[in-house]
Amino acid sequence: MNKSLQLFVLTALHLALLWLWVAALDSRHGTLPPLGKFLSPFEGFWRNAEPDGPERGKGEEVELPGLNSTVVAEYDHRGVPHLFAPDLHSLFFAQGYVTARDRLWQMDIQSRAGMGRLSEIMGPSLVRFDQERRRMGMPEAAAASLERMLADSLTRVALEAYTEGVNAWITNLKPATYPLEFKLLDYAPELWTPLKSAVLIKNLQWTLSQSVDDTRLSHVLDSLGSGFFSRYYPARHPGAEPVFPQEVYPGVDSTHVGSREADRGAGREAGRGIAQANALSETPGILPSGPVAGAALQSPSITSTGLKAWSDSLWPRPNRASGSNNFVLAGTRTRTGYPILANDPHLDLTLPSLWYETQLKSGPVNAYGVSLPGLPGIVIGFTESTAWGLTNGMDDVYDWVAPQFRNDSLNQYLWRGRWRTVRRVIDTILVRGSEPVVDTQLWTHLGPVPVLRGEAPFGPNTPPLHALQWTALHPSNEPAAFLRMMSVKSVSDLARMSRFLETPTQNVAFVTRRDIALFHQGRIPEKRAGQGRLLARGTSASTYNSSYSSEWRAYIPASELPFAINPARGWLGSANQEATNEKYPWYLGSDFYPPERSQRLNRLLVNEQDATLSSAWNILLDDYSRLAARALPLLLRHLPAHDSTATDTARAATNQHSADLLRAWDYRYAAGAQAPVLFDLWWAEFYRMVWIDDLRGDFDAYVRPSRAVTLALLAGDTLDEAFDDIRTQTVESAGDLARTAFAHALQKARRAGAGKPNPFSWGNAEVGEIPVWGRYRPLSIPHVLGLAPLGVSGLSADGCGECLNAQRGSHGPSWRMVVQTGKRPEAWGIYPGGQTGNPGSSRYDAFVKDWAAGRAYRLLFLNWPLEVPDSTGYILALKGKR
Amino acid sequence: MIRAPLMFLMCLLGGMVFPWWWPAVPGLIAGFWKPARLVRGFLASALGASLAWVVVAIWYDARNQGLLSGRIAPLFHLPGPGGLIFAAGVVGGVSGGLGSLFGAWFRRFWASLHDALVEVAAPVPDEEDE
Repeated sequence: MNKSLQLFVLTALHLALLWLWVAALDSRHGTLPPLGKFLSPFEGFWRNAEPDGPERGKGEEVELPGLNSTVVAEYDHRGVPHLFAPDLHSLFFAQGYVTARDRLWQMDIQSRAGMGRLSEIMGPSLVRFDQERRRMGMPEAAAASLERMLADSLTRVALEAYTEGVNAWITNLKPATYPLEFKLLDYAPELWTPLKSAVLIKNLQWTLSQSVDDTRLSHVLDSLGSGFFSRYYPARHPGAEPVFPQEVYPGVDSTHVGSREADRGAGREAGRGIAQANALSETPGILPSGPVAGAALQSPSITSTGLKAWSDSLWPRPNRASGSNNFVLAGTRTRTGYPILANDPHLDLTLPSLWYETQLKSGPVNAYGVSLPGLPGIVIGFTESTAWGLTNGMDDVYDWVAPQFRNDSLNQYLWRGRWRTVRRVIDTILVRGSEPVVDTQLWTHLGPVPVLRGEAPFGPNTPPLHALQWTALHPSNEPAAFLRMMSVKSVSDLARMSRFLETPTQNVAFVTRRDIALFHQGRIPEKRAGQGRLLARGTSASTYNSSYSSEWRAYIPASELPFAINPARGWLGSANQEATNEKYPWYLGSDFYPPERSQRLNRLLVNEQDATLSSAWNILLDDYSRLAARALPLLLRHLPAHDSTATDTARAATNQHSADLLRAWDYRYAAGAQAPVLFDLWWAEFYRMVWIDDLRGDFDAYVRPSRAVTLALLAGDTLDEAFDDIRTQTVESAGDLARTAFAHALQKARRAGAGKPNPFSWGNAEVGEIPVWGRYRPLSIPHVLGLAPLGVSGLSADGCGECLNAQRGSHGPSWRMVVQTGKRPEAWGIYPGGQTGNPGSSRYDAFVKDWAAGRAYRLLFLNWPLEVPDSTGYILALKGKR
Repeated sequence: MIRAPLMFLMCLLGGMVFPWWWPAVPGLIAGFWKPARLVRGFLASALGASLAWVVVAIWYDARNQGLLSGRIAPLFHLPGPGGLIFAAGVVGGVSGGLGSLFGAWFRRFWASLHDALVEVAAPVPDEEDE
């Protein structure tokens, strides 16, 4: 009996041991996936290892419930599915199916992120992230937009069919065949819903319409004084060349056609000034009276004499080293006589890529381009006879207002003489491995109040106890544009369809076989000049930026938005710069991108007299920096012709060689050149020395003065007080700073190159240590989760933050495309990624190397399946199942 | 010596259907039905299960030319695909081995329980009668 007991204990112990082993390897530990599941070759990550090799000539047939008729998905050699469907329902069903087949996890995680549902799968560390999305009103706004989308018959069919298609793929999956990241994070894909598609639009709006920084700009005014503010923070970029200058702007020029002309309001003479616009946008009684607090903001020109002289300069912004381009060239400027369109939207680059390339053909609809995984239709692309491209409009559609709360309970706030009730929404955030977090959202009639008293802000521009006015919170149906763009035939069609694009605001470029056009499109609040640039505060009706006067009352009518059609000059282009000049009656914001890219673009386009696809492509690849071209000669003139200050001759020689290197530079940021490294360091160091003392040693607390202003000072008044280091007794000039900055830059350059042999060395050993640009500032494309081995890094490429080929860090051209219309459209394109989102496939990052090298792929536009048999890689036949 | 090949087969076939801890089940059965020394039984079961996992892992890896394992290995600070294959072998092997250990102990417990029950059920001989 005793022995049995002993054996029982031992048996139980071993059972416990086995149980512990299985339990330990069946669950997550920190960020480690469940190792048992994950390492098992039967269900773990091994199953995601796709067989290498071509898919040529293979075919597959699947039966899918819910599909009405047969759809042929012809994959070309690059893995682009060309879908041929007899009806729209089947077409979008198939689009959902093939997109999920390649990108399901990306769709799932992005929709979860937008809804604030990441902590559900990733645990307590993501609660703040989720809370921010929710408090900013993303889920609520997505639901409201969805209602609008479903009220539109085309969007409804597309969203519902797409959803069915995605779910047809999901229901066929087993845990063993889930995409890799589901296994890494240990969760199961959730069925798709139209709401998730609506959320993806919110994500786009989140990324592209919040670039303003009202909080830190207000901080400048508050702590550095109105003198400093008005001197160094002009509201309009000096040297800006608007997208729609007078010669193409319809208010001045009469070359435009189309439906908009008819419904344009009578009060739109080109000469109407800002003051009148103010009067129109304000109701009587609350007009700003007398000189107002931020009067300097309204002045489009800078008052400083130095700055005034400089009208042709730059306006880069910290953390804004990128931007998109699009342009169109009329047939009169191209070799074939047909218009050309080019576009490269610049965004944060990730793997899997934001874009998914596809062709959609059903009856008269036939379009090729890039789609967003999770959304039916094509966002940027072309058809048999048209092409369209987008850049971000950059209008200020994101304003903070401070309501006056009655007391700390925040139940009521005073608005125009009456107490209003705060709407409270109780919200529950599910958290993996922890208790749910119950959160309260506060809503005023203006918008949500995301940060309460005593709470940490979510970011630099989320001030506490402020209500957010944001057009993304307004219900909208942007997918309708991406769907209808596929069947647009004429400029007047486009004018109607693009009105669905509300947020973010966009510059929509468009060509047909005959016409070129550019539309500034979006939902933009009517504002006085400067309104919404700073945090609104106080309730006095007379204060310039008071809360009452900052309330949005109306939106600029669609018919009043700027556009141009077939201008006499034969080209149109945008690079996120100011849409209009001062004569445009509405204030659009002060957050447009620096002018150097648009200036360069305009100069290149003017010279395009015999354009081809390859010359258009080369414009997208242009690596010339106007910043360098302007600033470098100004800096160099402060260096002595022969360095007599250096005591040892070796150093003097080095300095001399470096200066010579810069003097000989063509201002092109070529990956193999050293000069860009020297200039980049020199300018950065010079800029830092100019402003760091004025900003009290803290660059992060304030919006920094623009490079345009810095450059203007350097060009105009080298004795401006900005150059004086207020921390020293002596008075410094621009020359003093330039010389010191040069010495620092040289040191840094050599340090950066230390230990790296340099194939481009040009003789002098010490200078030879300066690394080449592509190695000094390599590009990276991180995985969405930031897992380094699943991303790509160390890419060497031409281009810079201020170039047309704008790239830096992990920002850059997310999709380059050039299209020429004609009897048949001809198009080239590339994006830095691959069609599949599976890191276990060689197609995951297949395009990255070619992208970095500036190469293009010819985009295969088919009229029927197997039209070009040599290009066929793989055929997937989707059949209905009864 | 039949144990390891049997384990190999059972793990290979069952793995396609059952969850990752499946090797513990044939391990348990083997440990229970076939008497063996504990260590030897453990090793034989572990070897069979481990081989099954390693072979399948290598098959998937080779088809893919080590592309995915090359990306996953650094996530776990492993030197390369080999490290992942080894880790997979260890997980499969230990699962099978622990199953077999439990099976073997259960067999012994069962036997002693059986003996004890027989003891209780049998009439106790009366010594005084002799």
